[in-house]
Amino acid sequence: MATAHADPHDEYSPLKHQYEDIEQQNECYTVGMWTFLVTEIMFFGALFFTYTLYRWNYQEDFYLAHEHLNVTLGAINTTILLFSSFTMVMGVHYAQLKDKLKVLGSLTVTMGCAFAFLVIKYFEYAEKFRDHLYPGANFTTDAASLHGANLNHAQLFFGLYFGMTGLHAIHIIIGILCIGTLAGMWAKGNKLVTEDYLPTEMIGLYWHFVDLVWIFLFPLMYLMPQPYK
Amino acid sequence: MAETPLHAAHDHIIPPRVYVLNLLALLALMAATVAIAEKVQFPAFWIFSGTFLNSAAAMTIACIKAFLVIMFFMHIKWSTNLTKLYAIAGFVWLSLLFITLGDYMTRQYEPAPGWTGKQESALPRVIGAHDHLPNDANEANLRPRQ
Repeated sequence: MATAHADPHDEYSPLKHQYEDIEQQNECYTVGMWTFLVTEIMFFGALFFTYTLYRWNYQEDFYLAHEHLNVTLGAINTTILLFSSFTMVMGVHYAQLKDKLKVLGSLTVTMGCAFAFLVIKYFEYAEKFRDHLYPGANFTTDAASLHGANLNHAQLFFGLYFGMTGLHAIHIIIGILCIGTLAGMWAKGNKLVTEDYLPTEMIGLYWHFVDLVWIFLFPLMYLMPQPYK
Repeated sequence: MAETPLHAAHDHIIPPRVYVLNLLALLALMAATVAIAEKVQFPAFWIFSGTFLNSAAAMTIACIKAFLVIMFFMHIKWSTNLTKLYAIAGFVWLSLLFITLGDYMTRQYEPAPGWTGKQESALPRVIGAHDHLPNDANEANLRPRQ
């Protein structure tokens, strides 16, 4: 009997036994992740559709209500998310090179950006809550806060604003948890992630999707053109 | 490049220069969309209002940004055809969803001109085919209108 170290079956291989080769396995992983992302597109797509419909019907009031949003903070958040997407893809790049330290650095910067995004979002939300701009029984009737918009239509706008950016923020929080878990596995030297870059790539795909949603949310919520001028 | 793109993503590692250029392009597009929204007011053109053109410009830039993220950050440019198919499938579904706007956006034009509520104008039918039915039964086939 050969010793355990000499046995080739004891060597760690990222290839699982049910796959023909590593390329088939990688394609299976990627297509599986994209299937999940397609369901996310469907999920967010319905919300974007609702938004389109109401903005089309109540252009004037949506424009007036959106004046309460801070374009500068929105643009800073967009920059942060785009940059975090870049650091995430660099993490995947270093995972391909098996450069543990640089992977950990990239993932940490990505998480830091995600956290900064949430902090800015907190200040934006706090401003809305202060002015009673969350939909419900306590919604403001103050014309100055509403910028002269119709009360009900402004409620619709802020309902969609909180609903869509809130769901996006939940995705950011889940992203931080996923990237944190991944970084923990890298730090421990778990072979599942260090010997195979695909887990890092899949978390990366999720993170880019979150970025993708914000790419559309930012112009739709913050950059509305003035109607009929 | 001589190699086939089919398995390229696993075989070769994309140089970081590509990612840096992609990030710079995305940031430039973001600056462009903010600048257009804050400074530019498009004049009305043909059947489109200036408001519509401003929205269309913002959405076009957003689509270009999404394309860049999907192609380069999400590695779709170098992925297998099956992966590309899955990536496209989501957006095909999204466009199908938005086709239903054709219903919502045209409701203001109902009832259509010439739609009198009389049986012969609802659908092209054989003249006299429903003459044996009472009038209210024919009316029941029509959609309610305001």
